[in-house]
Amino acid sequence: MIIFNEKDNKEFEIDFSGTVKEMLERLGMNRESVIVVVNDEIVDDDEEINNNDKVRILSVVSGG
Amino acid sequence: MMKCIKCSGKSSINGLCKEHFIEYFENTAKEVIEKHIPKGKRVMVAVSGGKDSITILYLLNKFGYNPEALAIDEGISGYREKTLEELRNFCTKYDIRLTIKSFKDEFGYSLDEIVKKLNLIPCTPCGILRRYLLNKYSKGYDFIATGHNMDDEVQAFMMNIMKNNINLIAKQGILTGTPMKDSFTQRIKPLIMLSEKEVRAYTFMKGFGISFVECNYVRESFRNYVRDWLNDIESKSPGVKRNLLKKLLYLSEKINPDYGDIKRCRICGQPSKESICMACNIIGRLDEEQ
Repeated sequence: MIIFNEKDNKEFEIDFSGTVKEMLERLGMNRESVIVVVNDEIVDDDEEINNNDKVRILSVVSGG
Repeated sequence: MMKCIKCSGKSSINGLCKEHFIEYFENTAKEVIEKHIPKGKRVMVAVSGGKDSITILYLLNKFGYNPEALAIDEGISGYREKTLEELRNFCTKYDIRLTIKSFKDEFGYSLDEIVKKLNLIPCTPCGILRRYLLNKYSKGYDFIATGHNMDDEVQAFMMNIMKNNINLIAKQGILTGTPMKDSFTQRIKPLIMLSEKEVRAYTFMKGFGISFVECNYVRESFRNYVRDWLNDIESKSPGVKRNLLKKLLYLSEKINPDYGDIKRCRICGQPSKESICMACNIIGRLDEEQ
């Protein structure tokens, strides 16, 4: 699965199948600090995703 | 797949599908706005070009308030340029009047230069000088709307508790200002009932095209630690932030703030606790350093 992380403006790849919540736990990200977009739609934490999905992680925090 | 609690659509955030989330979001903001801003009043939005202020501009415009935008260019290299460009594009698209005032033009120094010159924590002069310019250029308007969301307000609440400063808590809330109405524009926080995550989701769904940018100095602020701490608690116990906000709004209504003896700054005439306001104090120190 290729994931784009908005905060770093970088893409990275992981082998993953499970829920969004599990993915964030694996990445060590707080779900309050990010929004997960799968195939161009914001999804809830219980959404099942796999290696075929296009994932973007948006940072909730911005500004100063 | 989780379903929307209001229809058979796919849940996107808060158990709501995209359409019902947008409806919830706009109704929540509208309730605050219509309760506190009578139609026909002049509203200036303090804009940074970030998600919160862009959202307020959009909503006030949508609800028929004909807002104007005031942006402050602090002069933070690599940060403000992009947000101002996006702000200009947004205001052009929605036909909203935009005024930009810069630290450099107003005070002779950018924030980057001030920080180097005075060896201060950046957030201190930034906040003081921003508030000074917002007040100065909002004369004639009935309200300044600011982009503070639930997270901002709860973070400030926690920080004020940690400082054991009840008076600052009393000054928080939806409407803020000083009793010196003739020289201080009433502030309002239309997004106070909405979380930072909800605002970010809304801007994405509406396609506002806001880039992720972070102030160069944000890492140095204590607020950042409080923000992470609250997000950690919220993820383990959802609803904590909303409960804290409710308690804050309750307390700020119950406690009368003590504004002390408010005078007028003898240099600029703006409201001040001292004979020279904090902004003029900073400007004076900059001139001394020349």
